[in-house]
Amino acid sequence: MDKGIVSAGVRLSHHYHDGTSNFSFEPRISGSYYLSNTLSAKASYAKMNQYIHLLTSTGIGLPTDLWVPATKDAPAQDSWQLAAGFAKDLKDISTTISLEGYYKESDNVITYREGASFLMFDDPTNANNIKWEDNITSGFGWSYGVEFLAHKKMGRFSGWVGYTLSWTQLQFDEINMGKPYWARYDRRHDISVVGVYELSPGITLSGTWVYGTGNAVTLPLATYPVNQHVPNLISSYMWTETIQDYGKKNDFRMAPYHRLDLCVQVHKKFEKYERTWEFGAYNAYNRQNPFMYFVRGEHKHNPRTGESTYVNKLKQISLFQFIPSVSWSIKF
Amino acid sequence: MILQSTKSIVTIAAATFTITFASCIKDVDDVNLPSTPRKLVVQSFISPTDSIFVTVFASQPINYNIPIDGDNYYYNAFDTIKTATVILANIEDNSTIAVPYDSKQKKYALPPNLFAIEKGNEYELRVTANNFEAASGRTVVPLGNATSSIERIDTISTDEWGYTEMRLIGTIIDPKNEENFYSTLIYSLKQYESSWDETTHTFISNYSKRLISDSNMDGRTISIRHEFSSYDDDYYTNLGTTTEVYEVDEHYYRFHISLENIYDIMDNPFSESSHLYSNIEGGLGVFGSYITLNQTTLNK
Repeated sequence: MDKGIVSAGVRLSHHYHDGTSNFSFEPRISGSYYLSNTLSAKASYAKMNQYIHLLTSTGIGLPTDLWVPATKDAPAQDSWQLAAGFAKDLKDISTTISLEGYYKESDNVITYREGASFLMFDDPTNANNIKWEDNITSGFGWSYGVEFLAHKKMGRFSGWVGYTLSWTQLQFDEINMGKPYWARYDRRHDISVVGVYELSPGITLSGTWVYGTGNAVTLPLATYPVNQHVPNLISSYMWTETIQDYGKKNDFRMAPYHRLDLCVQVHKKFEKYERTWEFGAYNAYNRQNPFMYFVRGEHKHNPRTGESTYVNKLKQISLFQFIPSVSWSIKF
Repeated sequence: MILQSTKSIVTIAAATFTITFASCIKDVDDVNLPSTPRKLVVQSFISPTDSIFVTVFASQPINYNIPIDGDNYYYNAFDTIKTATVILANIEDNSTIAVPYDSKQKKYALPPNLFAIEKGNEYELRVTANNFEAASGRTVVPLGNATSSIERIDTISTDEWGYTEMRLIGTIIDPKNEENFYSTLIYSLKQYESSWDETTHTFISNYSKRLISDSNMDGRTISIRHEFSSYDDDYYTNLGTTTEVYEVDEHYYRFHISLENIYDIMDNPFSESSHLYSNIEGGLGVFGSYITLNQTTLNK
């Protein structure tokens, strides 16, 4: 048996936009070395270009992710990634365990400028003339982490447990006073547990549980009054505006996301086809995962005591709670 | 039998729908909500020729889900802190002066002759108040080497309702090898007699501010083309329209640029958060400076 395997190659990609042509040279190499019959070490390096960008909003409101193409003013995202790890086969229980670390850097990452949005309410009739590149700024991102996976592939019971511990940060000169901040989808802990059990040749039970750290978003922290400068002679006539103070970018964590999906499959083989009934429950314990947050001021007055209170309530909207499902399929 | 089956199916579907879509909106009670301390909000723009005014407020933390005194909620937001200690210091010669609170103007005020504000000098504003972190900011007064002239006002359009679109035309001669910022300001003062309280009220109308940087225009003549709207009717007495041209420092410029950006997005729920520029350490607000290059009253 070969002690080690190395795969190396290069990918040449081309992108054309509005008269500008770009060639990208993307080398990649991966290798694995068998330390024993059941234990291997692996490592890889890859350089990549991505010709579409994901623009994510950072507020607590409606998530408005937008995919936009690479252009002359928003060049392709250019990244490289290094990964290394170990994998161990536990043959007697048909299970593979792997542990891998990675580090990735990306250049030409884009984000909305402060105050920008994909919708221009001021003049909706002028939408066709709006250049979206004027609403963005480009910067740098990096991500690193460790991934653990235990995967049982055979037997009446199969499935996997995966856990990722990771950090993802961004830095733009024009955003957050040039200081690094967490990406919206920086998921500190990501867990997935999948199990499939063949109760009998005709009945299969399966379950999936996923967990992810909440999104990093920007929450208004305070309000305060400001005035524009006017000559002292008229300063007493000047109106005062109230401004929101947001603090650091993406410094607030939404509640974590987790749900359990359960499924029972009933198979029956006929002469010419196999029929399957599937009864499932998405989000079986009805977790109210946050889709978005909003702030609502609630003013209450007690006529008996004369006391008045005001509360800035942070509220969440959830989608897709418990959803049962039934499906029927045939395979032939 | 069929009717009973149908009824059962509808019941099950309704129960499923209720469970699935119930309580989609709830109070957030399962995360660490931020607890933000109150900060001093300090605002002052100094100039060699004008009185020194300093406003000191306190920020109002949005303490999510914590009830606060509702009667004073809105009034507290604009309540000046009257008991702060405000010190203005000249960094060049280490001279300092305390700026006293003026209860009539509701600001900390100092006449121009009591503490010299000189072009090119650096000044520091220090504010302390009980139960607040100390706040301070610095500014370097512009040199005022630029010159400005106002040539004319063009009328672009006018309608039967009294709205007129106008354009102020002028120039700024920018000095070479300096990073310069400018601001043009147009405003009208109007008055009316209130039948309600039988007093005369004065207010600012037709207010318009523009900010200019000499980036890519260093040492050249910068054109002023300031478009603004004017509205006149017989109900108000027009006391006159004034235009002023300032040379400002970078803090003045960046504060007002960021404030304009915030005004532009205030009604857009999809917009990204926009931070108001601040050069106040330990607090919020701005400490800037300016030189008046040109002041013209256009008409009465």
